[in-house]
Amino acid sequence: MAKGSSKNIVFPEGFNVNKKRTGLGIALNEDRVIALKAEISSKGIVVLDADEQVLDSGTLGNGKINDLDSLLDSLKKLKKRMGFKAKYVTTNLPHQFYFMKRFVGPEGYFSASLANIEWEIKHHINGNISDYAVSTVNTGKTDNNKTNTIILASHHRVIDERSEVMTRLGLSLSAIDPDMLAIQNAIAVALSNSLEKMVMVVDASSPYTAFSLLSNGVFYPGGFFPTSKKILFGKDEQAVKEFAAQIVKVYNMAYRIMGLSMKKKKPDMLIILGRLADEAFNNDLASALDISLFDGNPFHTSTVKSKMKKSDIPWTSLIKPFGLALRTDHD
Amino acid sequence: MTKFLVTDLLTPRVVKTPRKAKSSKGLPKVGKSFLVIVLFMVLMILAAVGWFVVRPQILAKKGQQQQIAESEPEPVQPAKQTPNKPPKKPIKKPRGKGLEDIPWMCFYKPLLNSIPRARGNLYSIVSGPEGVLLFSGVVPGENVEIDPKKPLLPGMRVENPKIIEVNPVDGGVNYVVQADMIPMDEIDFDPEPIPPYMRGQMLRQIDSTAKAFELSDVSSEPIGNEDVKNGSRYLISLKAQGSLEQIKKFVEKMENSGKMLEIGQISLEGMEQQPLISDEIRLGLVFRLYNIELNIPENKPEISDTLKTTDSIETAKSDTINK
Repeated sequence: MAKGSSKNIVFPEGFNVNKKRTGLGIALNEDRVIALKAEISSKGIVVLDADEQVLDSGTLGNGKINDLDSLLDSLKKLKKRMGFKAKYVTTNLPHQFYFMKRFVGPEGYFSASLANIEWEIKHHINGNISDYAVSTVNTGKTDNNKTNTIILASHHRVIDERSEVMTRLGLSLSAIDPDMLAIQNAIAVALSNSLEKMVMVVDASSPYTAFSLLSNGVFYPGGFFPTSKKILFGKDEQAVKEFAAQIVKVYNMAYRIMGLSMKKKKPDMLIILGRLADEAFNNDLASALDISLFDGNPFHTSTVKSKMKKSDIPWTSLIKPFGLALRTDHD
Repeated sequence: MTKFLVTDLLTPRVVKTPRKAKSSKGLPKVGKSFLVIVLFMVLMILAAVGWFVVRPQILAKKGQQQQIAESEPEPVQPAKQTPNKPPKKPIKKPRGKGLEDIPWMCFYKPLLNSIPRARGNLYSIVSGPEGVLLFSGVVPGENVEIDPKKPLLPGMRVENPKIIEVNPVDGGVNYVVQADMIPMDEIDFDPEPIPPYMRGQMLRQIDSTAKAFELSDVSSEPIGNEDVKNGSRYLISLKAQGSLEQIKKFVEKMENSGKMLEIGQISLEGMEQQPLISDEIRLGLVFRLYNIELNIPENKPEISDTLKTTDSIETAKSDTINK
């Protein structure tokens, strides 16, 4: 754990607090772009500003940028309103554009050399490995003291496409993070001291819903599935029940290898984020899944404060750009 | 403890450059020529010493030995065994007794035959840890539940299938399944050991057989020698490309070579990201060539030699007991 100097704030291991900076994160979502600025220092994180711009219909289609000019217009409007003068930014990769695979083994079992990573990943992607950017990260120890390593791959085309958007906006890309890792990092920094033993995180958005697990502080990637039209167009009781049933199904499939299922061992806490998240929906879903719902605010904790005067955007939508802003290493 | 997860998808890849030979590194051109001349002269001196000094001594010694051999009487040949003895029939050896040291012998032919019967489309098969196979494919249909109890590959000799991963994709559900391999129950030939002096020959045989079955981009190389129980084994890797039919024929030919040979690792994946049945396949194999003494108590030569006629292991056993 990295420790802050003055207030003894405890940050998660791997988080860079040595350099005081203003981080900017921009999340390119299917129907809107959301930007967030945060001041990062060893004294804590202060959210300075956040705003969103709804995109014209069809600008993005299933995550793919169909109309670059329209997207740039929207981003420029956002930039003008927020008045950000940053040079660097971190943006996101939607769930459908990356592949994430967890490996478990004794310490030193998996050597993260390029050849090893490529060998592992090429058995899971339908494409030429040279077309993919690959990376690994050690996520911590399992309960039985084994090491979790995550291998990540994303097509260069998607990364280049999003990088070009930021370049044309006059920004340099500091990093590009998968949606689920951005959310995980935000939770790790803001909430790690106040979470239950096993927390399920659900990003209920369009066109996909994704989920992951945080067990004893260790991140376990889950998966994603197409969000049904029924829940997108009406969150009535029946639609929520069906949505919950789908989450149970994919959860059981994803974590079967870890011996987890909603029947045998369900999470202790549920965090629901994303476009679908609101108070009523979150309560209905938590009740359908019979899991306690997280009801705090990650922007008012011992490590994170907010200076935003008023924002109509709920924290459930801001958590992703917040996680992205934390990854920006320069102003 | 919670970690802040930092990945790096932006760093451009470093282009791999071919490795240069270390010996020539840093030597100037003149130095290289000088080294070549010196080496040549040393070789010439050694050859001259060999011709004029060592060769006459060897010839003299050989002449003495020949004289001794010519003076000795010819040894009397022992009388041959009775011709009434029927020829030995090949004995089927139960797996798990005699060939447990070559566990995956003849395993891959049935596996390859089962690929066209796979549920949905199979995209890759790869070896995991020893005795474990990983295979991935796509079962058509939206939100289809992949039940590992329903065989995804009917006829494949695997058990304990576990779903590693399931992802929805266009038109179906992509799965990765891990399963334990079940060794063959029996084989119908007596495998011959491959002693060290035959390893080079086997390497050439594997390579040329692959080419004979019209596999393309064939490259094979020895990758090591390992000590195992009762002997040693030699590892040869082979990479090639070809259709499933060509690969099946090649694997069948090698597995039925009559030698103590097994495929230790396999990797099959489509070149164009199409199902294995319709794509050109990139093939990777590791052959293990054994030089071991098989531990088959029922088939020990001293037992069978004591019998006048032996049709089966059971007869051999009972006869030995009756004596």
